Amino acid sequence: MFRLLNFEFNRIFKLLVGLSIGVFGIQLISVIISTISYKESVIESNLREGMTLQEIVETYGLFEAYYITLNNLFFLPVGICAGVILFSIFFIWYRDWAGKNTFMYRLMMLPQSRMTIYYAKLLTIMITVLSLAFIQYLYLYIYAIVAKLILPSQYIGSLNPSDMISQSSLQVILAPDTLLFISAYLIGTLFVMMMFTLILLERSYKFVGLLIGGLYLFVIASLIIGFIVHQYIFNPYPYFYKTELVIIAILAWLILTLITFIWNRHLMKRKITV
Amino acid sequence: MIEVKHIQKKFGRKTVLKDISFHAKEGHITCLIGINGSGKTTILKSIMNLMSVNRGEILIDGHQFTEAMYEKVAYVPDVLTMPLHMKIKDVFQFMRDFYKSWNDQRADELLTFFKLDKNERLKNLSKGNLAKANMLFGLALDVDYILLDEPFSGIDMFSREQIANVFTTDLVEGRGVILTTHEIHDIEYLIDEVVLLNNGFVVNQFNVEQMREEQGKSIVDVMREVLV
Amino acid sequence: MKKYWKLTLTLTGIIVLFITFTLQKDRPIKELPQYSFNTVEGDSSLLDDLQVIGDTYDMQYNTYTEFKLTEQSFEKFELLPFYKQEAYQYLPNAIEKLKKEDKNFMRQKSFDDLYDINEDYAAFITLSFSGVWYNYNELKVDIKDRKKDEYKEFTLNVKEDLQLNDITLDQMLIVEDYLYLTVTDYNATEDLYDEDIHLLTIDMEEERVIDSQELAHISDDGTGEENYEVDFVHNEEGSQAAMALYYWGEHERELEKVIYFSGNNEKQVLDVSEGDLAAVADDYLIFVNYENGKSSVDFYSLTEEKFTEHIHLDEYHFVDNTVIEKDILYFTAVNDEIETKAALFAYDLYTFEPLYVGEIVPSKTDQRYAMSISALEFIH
Repeated sequence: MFRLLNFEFNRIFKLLVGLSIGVFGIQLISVIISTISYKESVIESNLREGMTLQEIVETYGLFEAYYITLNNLFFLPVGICAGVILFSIFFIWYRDWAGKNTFMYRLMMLPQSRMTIYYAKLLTIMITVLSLAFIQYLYLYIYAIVAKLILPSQYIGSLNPSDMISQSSLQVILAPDTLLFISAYLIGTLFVMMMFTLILLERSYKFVGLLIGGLYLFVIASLIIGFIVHQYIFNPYPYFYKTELVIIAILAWLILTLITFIWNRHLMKRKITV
Repeated sequence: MIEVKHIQKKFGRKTVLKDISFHAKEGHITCLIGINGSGKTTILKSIMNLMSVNRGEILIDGHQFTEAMYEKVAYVPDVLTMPLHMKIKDVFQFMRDFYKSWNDQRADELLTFFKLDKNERLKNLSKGNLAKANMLFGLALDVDYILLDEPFSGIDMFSREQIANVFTTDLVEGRGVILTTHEIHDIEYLIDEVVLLNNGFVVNQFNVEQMREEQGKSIVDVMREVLV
Repeated sequence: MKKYWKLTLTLTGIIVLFITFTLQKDRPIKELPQYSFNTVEGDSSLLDDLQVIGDTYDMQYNTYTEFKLTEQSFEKFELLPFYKQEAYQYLPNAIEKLKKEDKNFMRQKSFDDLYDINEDYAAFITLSFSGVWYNYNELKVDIKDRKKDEYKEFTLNVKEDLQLNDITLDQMLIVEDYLYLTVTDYNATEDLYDEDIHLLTIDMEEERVIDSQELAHISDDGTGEENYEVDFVHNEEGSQAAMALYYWGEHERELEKVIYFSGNNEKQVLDVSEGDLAAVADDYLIFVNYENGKSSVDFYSLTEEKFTEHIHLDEYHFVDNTVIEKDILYFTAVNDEIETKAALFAYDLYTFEPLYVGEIVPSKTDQRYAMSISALEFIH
């Protein structure tokens, strides 16, 4: 198991490194732009107009965590990563069938459970996603240092990475609540498994499978979206209490994961072909 | 012994294998012969459990297929089974990691036999060498049965000769081999058993030697009788 | 091992960063001070069922959280798991209690709505729009009879049932079978801008408005420089209540009118023009006053119709969060305008003697931390 996971992970590692570097490069530029424009528009222009340092701080506040993620450019690489991950969910399977070589033959002929292939691919995707999320967290510390290098220290407020997360959309990938964090990635895993269902169905039944899989995903997505709309869009307050919503979410997750898993296992063991 | 009993396989509405039964013995080279599209590859995939059959069963030494059988039966498909960016020695490492039956010594012997370079990447190999390497990855496993899908098609004459020669060495001898082909000219002398396929049925299974002694017919003679 | 280094490195990185992230994420909130009681004099067992809701704020780094303090415990709202944060702040104790008592009645109701709860009833009022063009508004009244455990709801059309034009809801209160509601009614034309504050009396049994009385009238250009504010208080059982109407002039709030409600829809206008209405208890209305740097709590006797008793505070000011529990009046005050330290008082309502004086002290005394108390509540 660990060997195959290692093998799969090594195959995607270059992509992971590439994405990490790309994210850092673009976000660094974004942070530098935000910081320099703050320095220019808030500090220097007001100093020219005769305000004192104290007055500037009193009027505009300090340079805080919020400014780091202010520029939209900051979230561009996050979006790109999401797209690449979505692509790699499909890529990690189809590359073993496509081209002059058909590695899927070898994978399926390994003297171990077929599900090992499935787990290896699923875990590879999840590890890649988590790596990107946490490397983003690591980068926030670097951006704080960069901002401190550019701005005079009198203007610097709290540049705590926790604040950068809780005051921006970054909380989607790094939820400050531990339970929410774990739920987010468990739901993410379920999403990846459902995409795998689609792929395995297509591999097993070709176009018909794609149709069945698409219908399955459509029904599930409609149910979930319908529920959310019912809870939040037409009502001022959701019908269910949060504690009840947690139970509903856990049950829904369990049922869907079980169905998806059993289906995927059936497809892996009995249906997919080379 | 590999026993194929009354298997049927449908692709959509098309029944490719209608009722196929034959057996292949250890130590014999059994050849599945049929025109293109007669379902030779499908049979091999079915034996390897790479494809499910609609009806019938396949027994290997009297047992149903399990994942552990991959240590006992090897399959060399007509395409490469390893990623192209790998070097031959990387593939060796991979096989060593995953198969108990991988035999390093035999792998090296085959490497010498086929005159291949361990440090070469697969994507830099010529078509003939690629076919040899592909075969090497199957033959270097200490398995009782080897299934080869069209080992001679689409490669140059000298490579073909080299591959044919390996069957007469102790690198293969003693094991059961099932191979498929649609033209048997160069390899007729290798074959012990023939299974003739047509229209999804086994038309005839016979021992080449026996056929020659008892009826004085070569494989081609029998094929002509049945297929034309 | 060499061939596993990429995976090993990545997994180690994920684990290390996850631990760091988990430990670091609440640090700004954790750094805000904790609070505890420090008894100066009196019997601290009086605090047994009391909980103090307040908030603490870091002025330098803009971090903020509500907190809940009891004699035994202290917790910060922002550190609660998300599913325990039903709203963006602690729900009032009355709502929490009603939720436990009757989950279904409380569904889709929020403490942002107008509500009141007494021993017999719980009532919520929402203003909604209806009609083809959403052009006339309605009051939706949700009532739960807590004794009989029955619900009912009815709607009152603003134009037809209330004879008003276009309203916003201000405050509400229930006393026995009656629901009192103040609304602001707007009448705007090109050169006229009118705001009227009405006190509506709704009979909850008969499901209709039985009285509508104009409390105040504002006619200006709509700049909002003139304003009125209404405040309701009632006793614990909900059998007595009072309403104060304040006029906001420039920077200053003046008490303009006080109405006392007893059972059976009896209303009595009282002759009081000083202070802020704080509570009502059997024979007294309780007001707080702040004048010339001194704070006092003043007791207006309903039988004698005049102020009879006073509590004067020396060191502390701005009496707030008054609550009466078992004939004891509790309230808070602060020691200075920065509000770094608060005090909690308990007075006997028969003798008007102090039973408890205590401070609510922070664990950190840095000037950058501010604190304020928003409610005293008793948990039963």
